[in-house]
Amino acid sequence: MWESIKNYWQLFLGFLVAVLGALVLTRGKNERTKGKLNNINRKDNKKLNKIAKERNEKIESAIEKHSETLQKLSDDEEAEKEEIEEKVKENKADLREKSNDELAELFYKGK
Amino acid sequence: MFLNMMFLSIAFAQEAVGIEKGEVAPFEGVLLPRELAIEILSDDYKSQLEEQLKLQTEKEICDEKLRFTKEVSDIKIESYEAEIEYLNKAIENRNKMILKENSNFSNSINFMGGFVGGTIVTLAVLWSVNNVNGN
Repeated sequence: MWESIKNYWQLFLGFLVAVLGALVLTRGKNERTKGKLNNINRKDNKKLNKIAKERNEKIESAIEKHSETLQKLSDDEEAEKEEIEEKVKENKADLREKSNDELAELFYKGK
Repeated sequence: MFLNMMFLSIAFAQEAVGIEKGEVAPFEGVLLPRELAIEILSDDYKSQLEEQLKLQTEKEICDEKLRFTKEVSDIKIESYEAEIEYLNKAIENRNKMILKENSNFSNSINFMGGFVGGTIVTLAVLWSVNNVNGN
């Protein structure tokens, strides 16, 4: 009697250990999957950060270029204003050389 | 500018004529000294040039702003396209991995492996104990 109970217990214990082993292996596999996913997430974040960083660098470069162009336009405008002053002086000198009739004609034409 | 326009409008009302000092004016009107006439015509010329420059500068600034906006938009579009492409690939890879990891076959293999392993360990332990008890 005792021997047969002992055998049953041994069978039960064996089954229990087998199930436990199966659960441990399955759980271990899930953990490995989580670990793989975490690694992939880290890799993806790194790659996305790199893309964002490149984008920001390009935009910064474009802003710098834009700023330089605006500054150049402003400088050009100042230079043009000086040229206008020169042209006006020349124009005034031309006007002084004109006769009264020619000046009157310019008034009439609105030039 | 106001004076300029006023004098010009006066001048346009009737044909302007040049007269010499002491000469009789051919019609009633406003007589301008020669120097003032030159100043008015010169100011008008200057205003025209300044207006042209202002328009040209504004056009160039608008063109530059348009170019800048387009450049930034192109950079963003290109970058977002690269991001979307990468994310699509990432999603695809995850899907494949999850499907592979969670397949019934894979789970069954693990469960069966654990079960068989546990059975073997138990049998080995029992065999050892029985051997020790038998001896």
